[in-house]
Amino acid sequence: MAETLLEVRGLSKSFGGVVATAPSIAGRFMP
Amino acid sequence: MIGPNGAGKTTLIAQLAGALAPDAGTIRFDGQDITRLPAHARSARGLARTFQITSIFHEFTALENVALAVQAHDGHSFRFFRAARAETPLLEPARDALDRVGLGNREDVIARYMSHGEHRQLEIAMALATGPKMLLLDEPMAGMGPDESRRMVEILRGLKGGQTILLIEHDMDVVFALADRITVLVYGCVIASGTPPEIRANAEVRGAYLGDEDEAGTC
Repeated sequence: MAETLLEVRGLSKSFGGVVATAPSIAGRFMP
Repeated sequence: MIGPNGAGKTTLIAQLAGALAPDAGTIRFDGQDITRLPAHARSARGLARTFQITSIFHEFTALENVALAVQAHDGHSFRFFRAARAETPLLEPARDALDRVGLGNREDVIARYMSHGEHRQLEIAMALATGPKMLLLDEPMAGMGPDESRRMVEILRGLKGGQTILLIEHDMDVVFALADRITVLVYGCVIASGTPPEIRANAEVRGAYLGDEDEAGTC
């Protein structure tokens, strides 16, 4: 898996988290 | 990322770009916590959102608009723009960005005379010209006709692989045509994340899009 470029966690009660990796497109939420 | 109206797509992208402060949680970009950074600081770190960078100047040519984006990102004042029009360091990345979005043969066209679809292409060129590490695209096909939309899909297909893109889109066909990974957001909840075939086969996703509450699930 490519390096993690963007990672979001716990933005709200309902957002689990998002990870995007470079260089290709990837968006992944992790509950 | 896909999701029906009201799913929270725009809220999320606004939080990622710094237009909206989250109540809680963290956003890390390129190894740094950017949760509390203002939008311009995120842009300077390489997180580009088309809509915030782009105020297209309708009296300027396509090339001049992109050169301005380069200049603004580099921290120069706009009042030096007259000089910028002749500066190779600004024009070279500007031309390269126009080529990447299929506007290489339109650089001398005044923006006012470009179509809606070309304006969207120009906005992406302006974001690309700043050399972002990641491009946030919020429904780039919005308001486009079928031909323009197909053209934009081809442009984005050409960009992926060389440019990390987070595409937010409600049109399933567009997403399945482009994405390597898809996350589905419904009512603020992530209900699925995976490859296009995985998402296509996911019962919760099908339930959410078909309006079947029993299958939509909760988070």
